[in-house]
Amino acid sequence: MSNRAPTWTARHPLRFAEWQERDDTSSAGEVIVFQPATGNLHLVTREGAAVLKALRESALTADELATRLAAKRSQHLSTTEMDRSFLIPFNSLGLIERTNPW
Amino acid sequence: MVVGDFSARDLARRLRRDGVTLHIGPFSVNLRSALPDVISGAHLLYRDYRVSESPFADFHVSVETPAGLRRWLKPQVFFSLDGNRPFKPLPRPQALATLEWGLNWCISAHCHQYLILHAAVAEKNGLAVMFPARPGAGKSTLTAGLVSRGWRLFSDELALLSLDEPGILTPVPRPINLKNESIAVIREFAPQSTMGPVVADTNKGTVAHMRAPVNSIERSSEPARPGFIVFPRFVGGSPTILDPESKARSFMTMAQQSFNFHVLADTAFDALHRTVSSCNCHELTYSNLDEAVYVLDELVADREVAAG
Repeated sequence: MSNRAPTWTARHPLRFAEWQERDDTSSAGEVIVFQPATGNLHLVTREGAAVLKALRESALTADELATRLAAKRSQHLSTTEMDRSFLIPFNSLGLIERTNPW
Repeated sequence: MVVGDFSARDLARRLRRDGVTLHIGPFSVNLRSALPDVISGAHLLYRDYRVSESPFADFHVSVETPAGLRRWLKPQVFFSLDGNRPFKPLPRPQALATLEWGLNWCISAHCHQYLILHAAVAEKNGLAVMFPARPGAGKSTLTAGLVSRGWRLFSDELALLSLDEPGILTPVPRPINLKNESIAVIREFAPQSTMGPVVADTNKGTVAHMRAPVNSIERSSEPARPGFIVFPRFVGGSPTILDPESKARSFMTMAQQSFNFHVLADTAFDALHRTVSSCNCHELTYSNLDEAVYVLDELVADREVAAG
């Protein structure tokens, strides 16, 4: 059944803007994500931007995404926890397409 | 030749016939109107603008009364561009404001050679400061205060960010649109300033236009680089506070308030990224205009010292 896990992928090319802390101490890791094809413009955390970058390169299953996030956070993160704490608001950005692998 | 070189009668005759073509920043605007309010308003507020004899104009605009009953019964006026009327008519006492709002629309809806941001811009000693703000935040009041104390007016409404020359702002100095309490504030702050007629009961409340300083108009072909982005916030009774604002949030706010970010897409993203990167971003909370102007004077002076 694990093969039936949904796959997440960034549907359109994305652009990013961020500033180094030495240039802007008040941005606190915030990153601008822009999707030219749709005009979507969002302010996300640096962690969120890193995931979006990864999704541009290849589609990831939810489990793979959870593993990647867990590695970044240096902690264990289950798919369920990830869905609840991360993917739902992430999905609301409208930047990720949930694809059926079949 | 400037508008003020015409007598009131001569200007009226020209405006009624072929119109008068004005150089307003990088644009040429051919204005026609037979309405006395527009004629006297143009004579007062556009006195220092150069007049072109060329038949070419970027915009051919007019402010006229509609035909029929509305000429006399609850009289109205409409704005037109190239003979088309993009807006519903407004009450006739709002004729001059109709012209100003129409010109804002002409620029913001058509001039995509610029990234157009909803922001006032003023410059001092070669350094421009952008004041993006939502309506009612006090940006026009602050801009009027600054230009009354020697700053150069770029615009109180539209920041034109060049796409050809990255990070360059183009001036388009026009009358400053003051609303409600701001009219009395500026009258007291800058009694030497020239105001057009006060018009009540518009969609924006009571409005009046302050004439742009002649020096700003004469130097309207001189662009400048922005050094600061300052989000003004008028809060009655508040002390004057200048806080840092994050570049990321500044970017978001400016993009959301841009008139054509969605049209220019990638190009707009790059232009705004470069601009925000080159600026220090702040939020200015104020209630006292004198103090706000002082703080901004000091801000620019500090940057000059640092650069020197």
